[in-house]
Amino acid sequence: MDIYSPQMMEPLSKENDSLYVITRPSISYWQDVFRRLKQSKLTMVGLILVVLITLIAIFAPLLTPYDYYSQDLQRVNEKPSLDHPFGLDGFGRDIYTRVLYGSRISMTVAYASALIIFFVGVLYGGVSGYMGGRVDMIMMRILDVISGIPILLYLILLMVVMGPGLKSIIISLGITRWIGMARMIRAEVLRLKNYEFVLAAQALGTNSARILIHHFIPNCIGVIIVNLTFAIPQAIFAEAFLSFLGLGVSAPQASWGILTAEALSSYMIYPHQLLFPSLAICLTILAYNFLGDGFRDAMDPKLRT
Amino acid sequence: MKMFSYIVQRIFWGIVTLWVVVTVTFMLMHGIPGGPFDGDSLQQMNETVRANLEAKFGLDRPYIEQYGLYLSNLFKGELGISITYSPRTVKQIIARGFPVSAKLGLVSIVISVFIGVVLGIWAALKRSKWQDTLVKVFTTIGITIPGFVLATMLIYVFAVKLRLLPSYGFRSIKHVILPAIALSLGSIAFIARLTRSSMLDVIRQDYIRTARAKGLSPTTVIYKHALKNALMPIVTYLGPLVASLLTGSFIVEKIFSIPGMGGEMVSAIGNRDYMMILGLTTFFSIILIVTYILVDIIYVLIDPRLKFD
Repeated sequence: MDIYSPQMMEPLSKENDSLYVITRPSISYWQDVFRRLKQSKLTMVGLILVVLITLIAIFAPLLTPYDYYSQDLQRVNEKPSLDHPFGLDGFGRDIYTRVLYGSRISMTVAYASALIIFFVGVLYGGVSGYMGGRVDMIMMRILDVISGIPILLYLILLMVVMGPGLKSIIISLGITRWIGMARMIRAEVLRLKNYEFVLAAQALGTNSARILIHHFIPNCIGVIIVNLTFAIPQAIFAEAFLSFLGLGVSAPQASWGILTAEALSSYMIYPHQLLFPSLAICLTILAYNFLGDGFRDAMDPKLRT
Repeated sequence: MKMFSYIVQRIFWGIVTLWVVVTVTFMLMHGIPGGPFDGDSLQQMNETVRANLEAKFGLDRPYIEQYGLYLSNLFKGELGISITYSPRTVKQIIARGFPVSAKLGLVSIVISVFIGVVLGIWAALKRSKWQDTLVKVFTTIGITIPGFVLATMLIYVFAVKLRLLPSYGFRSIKHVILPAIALSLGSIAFIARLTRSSMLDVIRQDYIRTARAKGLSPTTVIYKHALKNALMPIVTYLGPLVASLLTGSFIVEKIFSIPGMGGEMVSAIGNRDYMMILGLTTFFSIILIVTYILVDIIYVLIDPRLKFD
């Protein structure tokens, strides 16, 4: 019977009361999220890569002795060497430099369209979910229509109105890609609408815009961030697809999509021309996926064990 | 009865959506400068020839009349004659390209769902073991590699280096393998991740514990009780996936030289082939609307907790 020894039955001394004092500081939701983010190695790798890629895009001209348009016709299609680490393309342009400069276009498209997706998607989904009923139904039907119309039609129309280039690509990606975000936010708002804090806010006479901005959006922020980190790789994919169709920015400027599309016709003979831009795309998408997974794991209480 | 009225209601809204899509497409399409007879090769086209051609396709009439004519034809089930490929009708062009794209699409859908679900279950059951990590690495690769890079890599390895499979065309079963892999890798990865997380979610539920406590074998618990519930999010994802795979992928069909309809819309817009643009938009919208309705019906049928309303 050594489990219940007589000592255990003695009253505890007063000193042990300190055991019941909460010594650890209580942490807020966001502190907890950041702590979890820091714990995951892959997320940190993703974060570092994302910061690095963004910095490369910003400081591209400082990182290369060449520029993206000058041609060295003596050394056309040359394989990677010491002074041209990624080799040369069909016009004798340095591929390393073109990939660096391409990151500027690809990242601009990605970030700018993510911004449009954020504002339009959150506002539309939020209003639709909050108003509910007939307004919600009509707004959802409009979404069906928008997703039914081929994206190329918008794009070509925008190119005609605004001239070809970065701006029309960003806007046309923005106006077609916010739909997923809007649906997600609507579902989230529909769920949140029934909580007591919304009722409390309404009872206090808060107007709808304030409820939307101060109560719904902070509660949806997890969904929004996860959605945006996945929207960025999608925008890079979509930009590559448009470049494939010859609807990207005009030469000699080149995004990663254009670089791969150009290299595709001769990849059997000059694989290096396809390899490096493709690697750049894959690495960027990988980085954002790591980051997105990390955010989702850190923010979703259901995934914790 | 409730199901019937639900379906009728959805079909009604589907038709309204289709009408609005056609109308907006019509307006956008005519908003783009340049007509079907403005191409470079026809630069010196005689004014009379041009007027005759425009009269033939009804392009000389006011927009509102062209629009009315298109709608009344659509009502009769006619999509009109392609301007670029005249005298072939839009229907004939769809009838030629769609079966090819759909065949490839169906194979890809079956592969994606089967492999995706199996990998997802495997990863969920072996959570935090090496199998889970393996699936995670695979799905990360699948999501990361763009379709065109994967397609060219597949051709390079299996057609050029190993000479195992043909790199272009669409004649035999062998021709389907590489493009189907290129099309499905991304969705395999996505479905596997979806299955894994929803499986993990379901396994924690009380009814699974009850099933185990009743003494059912682990296999029965997994396949009869857990999987059925875990598949719900996948059905939601299937709607847009089926619609996009059936109508063909521009890039994969181009790289593998497959005579599908993935590139038809691109060339129709390039050629300002008004009839093809409208016809294809109508066709794609119908497929999209029908798959969405089917998915919603399947959703209610497999989950008795949901009701038609």
